[in-house]
Amino acid sequence: MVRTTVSVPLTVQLKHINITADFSQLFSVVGMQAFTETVSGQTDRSLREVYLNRLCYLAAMAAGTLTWIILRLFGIAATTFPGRVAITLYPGFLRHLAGKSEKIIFITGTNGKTTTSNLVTHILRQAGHSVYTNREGANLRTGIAAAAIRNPGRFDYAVIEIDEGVFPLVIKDLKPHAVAVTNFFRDQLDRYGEIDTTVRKVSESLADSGAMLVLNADDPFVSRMGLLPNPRRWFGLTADTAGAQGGTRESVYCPVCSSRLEYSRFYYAQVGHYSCGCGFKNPAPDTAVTQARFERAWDGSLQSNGQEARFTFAYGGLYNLYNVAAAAALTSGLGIPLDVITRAAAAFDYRLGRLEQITLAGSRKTLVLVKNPAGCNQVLDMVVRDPDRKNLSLVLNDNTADGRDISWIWDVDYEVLAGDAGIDMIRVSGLRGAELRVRLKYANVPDSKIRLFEKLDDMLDDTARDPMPVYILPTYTALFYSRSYFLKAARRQK
Amino acid sequence: MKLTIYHMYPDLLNLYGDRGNIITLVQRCRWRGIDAEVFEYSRDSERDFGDCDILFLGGGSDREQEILYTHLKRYRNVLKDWVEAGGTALTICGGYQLLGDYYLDANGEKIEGLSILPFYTKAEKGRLIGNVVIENTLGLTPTTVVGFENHGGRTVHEFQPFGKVRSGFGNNGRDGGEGLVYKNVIGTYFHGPLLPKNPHVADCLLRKALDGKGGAQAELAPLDDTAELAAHHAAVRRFSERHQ
Repeated sequence: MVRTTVSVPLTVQLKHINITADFSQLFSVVGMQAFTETVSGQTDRSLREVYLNRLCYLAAMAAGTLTWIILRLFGIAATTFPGRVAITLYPGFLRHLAGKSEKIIFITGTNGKTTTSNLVTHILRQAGHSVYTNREGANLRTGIAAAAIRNPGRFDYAVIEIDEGVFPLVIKDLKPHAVAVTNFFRDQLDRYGEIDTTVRKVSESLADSGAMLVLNADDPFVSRMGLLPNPRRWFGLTADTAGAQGGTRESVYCPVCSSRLEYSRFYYAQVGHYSCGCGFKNPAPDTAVTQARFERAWDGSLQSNGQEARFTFAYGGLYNLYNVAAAAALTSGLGIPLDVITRAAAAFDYRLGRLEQITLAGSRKTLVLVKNPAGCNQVLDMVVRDPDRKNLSLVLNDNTADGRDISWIWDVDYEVLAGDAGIDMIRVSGLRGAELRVRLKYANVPDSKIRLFEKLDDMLDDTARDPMPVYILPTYTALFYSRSYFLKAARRQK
Repeated sequence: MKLTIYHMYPDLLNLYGDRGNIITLVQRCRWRGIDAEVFEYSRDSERDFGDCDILFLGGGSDREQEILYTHLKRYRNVLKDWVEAGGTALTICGGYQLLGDYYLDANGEKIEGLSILPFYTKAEKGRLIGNVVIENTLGLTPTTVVGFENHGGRTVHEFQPFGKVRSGFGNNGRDGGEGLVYKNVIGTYFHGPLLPKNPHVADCLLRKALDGKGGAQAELAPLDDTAELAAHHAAVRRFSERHQ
């Protein structure tokens, strides 16, 4: 079959904005493409359907692309609106992304999706591959559609992070070649209710996908997916690293026999080395961090499929070791050599509010997103271990994306901030800032150390002028706002 | 002065930040020089209910509640007597439902409760989720109580409600009542958790418990509740404005 595509590059230069979009997607000869994609033996009727679906997709893609261009012209950074336009016009939009990349990779779980997918993207690009990704953490269906719109053309890989709640829906439309599952923690309860349900739904949706699974051996909620028929690679930690002990334990019961799990080592929350009398325990990891020490950066040893390599990673926190292990397991499963992986990890420069650093008033301001108890405990542990004296600025919002129920702050061990903790002042703000102040009070943080700011701008301004290093811990909807506030302030301070 | 708080099945019922209620009670005791002991009651660690000054029974996922019930039902009569004798308890969500005769689930199956009080809860389509503001029936100041509810079950009973719903759903979204009060037992759907930003409710429970220890109208020293009340009023303002 002869396939004809018309490629129409469109370059628009307006002031400082330069957008080039390859509109081949719009003008390719629909009929030929549709035909070459059909399975032989289709009836006339279903051929027409395929043809029609393809038209709908292209129309939706055109509308989405137009929306994106218009937004860019107005300087609006809205990440998912073009995707929302496309999906509203054509709900089956995601199905057509199958042809956009050679391989499709999904990353899901509660914490670590964005870091892991960014790291995987970075590794694959270092290895010379073309990758498109929804790197801004826009991980619902609209965000995935938006990523496709912003990245016209074909790629070697799609690396897509997917919110664990919508994962079963997405995988119906788009079949991945590999799926990494980072962990499951209690997150926004008003959205997902119970963990067991979430885990079950994700598991069931994976069963007939044939995808290679990259699974956290140290999380019993994830390791139960080992029961699935899919090929799999395990990642985990065997390092003798002292991590945060204590904190919230999810009720950890054996998924096979319901007895309580025994732990020989806790890394954090329910993640660690567990076993049960019935035989359920950590599977041996194919990729593991066997040694790690943190002093301004992680420095350790990564073992994968019998090979061993030294690695460094600039961002602290035990949870980041798991992100490194996950990314390494996934990419080595795709055939990337270990030395390429470790070189990429060493050079990984993270932005977007996960340990993102901006210099203001002559000192380091570090943005760290907090979403749930397990993640927040990890961040607080890291903050307290930082040997420099510093201040804290905490922002608690309760918009839909943050989770309207903020009770999770009572499952966070703010008690670690009670003593000196190397902290002079804790600012609190956000829509529920007043309750964060109460939480700190009950955590034995002296009220004299706490400053409540009714207006977020006032707190951000005070933070930007603070000569001390500050860790800023916002919930999701406060993150982007705080970030752009600080970036603007940094430009002014230059 | 010493108060013993029984935290029931913390290993099973640790959802929704409810341990914040325990933290609140303990701190409000300590700040007044009252010795507060928390006993974590679980399947492998039991104790006589006679030693219990305040009982806290929260909610959990269905599986955990089933496990809990299997264990606790043998003490049904002990607990009923304890409640009738004026024992102080705070029961939340699943814990509250468990006080009743049964829970009728989505499949029509009757799940037995402890039958401490004659009432029932019935699961219906659509969960009742959102922030709630009520006016309490206990004469506490402030009159408002604010929290977050998330339940599929609709509870129906003929007892005194914990409060009249100002905004939110309450027990069943129909009769305008939230929770239940019987003697010194409070049942409610309030997560949030309940006590940190409703210090008047926390102190009400502490007073009931101290009364029970033999001290007519035990006096609780007032605390500086500026932070708690600021949070309380901010939440009431925010969640009274619109129905979510």
